[in-house]
Amino acid sequence: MSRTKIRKATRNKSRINRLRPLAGLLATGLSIPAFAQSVPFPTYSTGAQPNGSFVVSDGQIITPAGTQVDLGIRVRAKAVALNPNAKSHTAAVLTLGATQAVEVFDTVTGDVLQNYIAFGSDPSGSYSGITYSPDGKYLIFSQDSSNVTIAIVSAEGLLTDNAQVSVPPNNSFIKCFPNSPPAAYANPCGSFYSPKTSYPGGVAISQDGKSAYALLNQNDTLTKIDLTAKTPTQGLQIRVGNAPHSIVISSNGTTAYVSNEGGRAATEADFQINSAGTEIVGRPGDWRRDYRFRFCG
Amino acid sequence: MIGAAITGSVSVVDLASMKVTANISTGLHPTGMAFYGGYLLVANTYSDTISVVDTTTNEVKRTISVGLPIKVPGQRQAAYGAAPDSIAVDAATGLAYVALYNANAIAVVNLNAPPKRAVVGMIPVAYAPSSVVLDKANNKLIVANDKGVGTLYSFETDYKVTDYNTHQDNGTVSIIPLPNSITLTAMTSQVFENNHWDLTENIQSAGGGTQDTQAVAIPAKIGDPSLIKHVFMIIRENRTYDQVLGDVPAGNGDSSLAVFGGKDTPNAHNLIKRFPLFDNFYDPRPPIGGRSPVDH
Repeated sequence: MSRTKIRKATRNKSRINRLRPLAGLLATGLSIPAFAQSVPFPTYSTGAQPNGSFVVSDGQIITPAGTQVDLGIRVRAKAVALNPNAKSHTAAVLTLGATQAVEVFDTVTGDVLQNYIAFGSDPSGSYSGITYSPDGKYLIFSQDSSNVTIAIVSAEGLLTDNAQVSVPPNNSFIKCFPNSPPAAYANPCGSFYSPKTSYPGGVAISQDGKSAYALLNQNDTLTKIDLTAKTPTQGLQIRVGNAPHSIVISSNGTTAYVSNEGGRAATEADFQINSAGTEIVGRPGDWRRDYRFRFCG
Repeated sequence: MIGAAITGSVSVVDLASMKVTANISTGLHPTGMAFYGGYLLVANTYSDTISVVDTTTNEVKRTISVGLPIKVPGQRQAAYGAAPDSIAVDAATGLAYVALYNANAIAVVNLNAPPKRAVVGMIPVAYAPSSVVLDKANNKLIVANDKGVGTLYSFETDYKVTDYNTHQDNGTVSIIPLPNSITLTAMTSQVFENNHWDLTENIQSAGGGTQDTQAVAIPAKIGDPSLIKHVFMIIRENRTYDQVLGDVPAGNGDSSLAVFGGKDTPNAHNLIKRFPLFDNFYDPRPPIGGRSPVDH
């Protein structure tokens, strides 16, 4: 709340003494004293506190363990990947809503080494999707600009431009299923939905480094990118579940697993709720709610 | 989860043919995944669980709870809202490190323990951990914290007023040496305190209500009947409390931040004359794994 007023900033010190042994707590749930009496909930203003902790906008206290890497303001840190070239001791963070797409940092010192903007002009990041090739020579990541971007990684872990692979959105016709609500937020059935981006998300690279795979959250698809091509382009695109988020590849390299935030594709027998052009399996009665679980902002 | 997808799934894809060969039903809103030997671990963000999938049969063999270590009085299940969203596995120790987006912590999960007792401790990180990886060579965890330490300063103005608004998150990364059992115990205590889970008396003293009590507007105990049937909460999208109601003397606001005060928002200012003013209500979480900023 107010940053100019500091109310009672000190915590009730006796609280710490009331902690119970934690192994027991976690194993059995809370043990409850026989005569419970409420104590005042702590009050303080958000921001840095005198004892070095932070109080954030939902009232929780922040005391992060270890070394902290400050990525700067107007940065949302969405996903981190460790450079397999251990000698470089670097890692890369995919950011969102920031002035760069990726920040590279030193995993020993915590120093930020590079703020990388793709091809000097595209600072967009994504909610997920960043990985190094197994040999550590390339980094690929997803961008809200509807691109999957490939950067060359130096021996020191620094990034330079290689390629931006366009992964455009699919226009989808919203079918009217028998169980669809008569209308849905902004996108009634029977209309076309035309998004501006495919919202590329989770990415993976095959063990041999020859193929990249990217999830297009808006398209509900998985796509393949041939990394051996002189100019890599988007290849085959297949329907997976709704709003795919992350992808991992089995150790033998044959099978990929894709997590679908919006669950399985709806069938005619399901009750469906439209979400940004896709029918989601829902529950009757829920459809009046503003239903934009993957697409707002 | 009301108003959201009622299924969650993992698609199994044969990469040679690029065909979906199976669909695995998981918990709700599955996001981060990791392998543990022949098992696939799936973080079900809206179910507070980890699905353990046997990759030879594509069957969910176990479901590990990573729910909050507190309960609403009178209820058996853990309180909802830990929001696991990323998993790193240390195969050598059989431990999984699971980012809990809403608890600002990494849960340490013993993958060989019974599912209900699998969480052996928690590591405090910063605001809204979105991604965790294990640096095995150096025995460190590297954690991306979506919102870092919150918004510490502002560089923007709206209508010539400096504002602390959405989109000004100060994201961070935490580089954490793997704890041993002693340091993990201290870290777990810290996570409890940070989340106010240590206020057990408050939780317990609110319980013990009964439907036999006479209904009043605001019941004294959870479980007592209330005369109120519906509660409407009005929150401005993309606006902070101070931006709209900071000029209200009754609240703990800051009038210097009231970009859209009484002059611009007469309806909101009329409403709070007739209904409660929530000057300390917080609900900053965006759809997890999604794109929206804090307070959106």
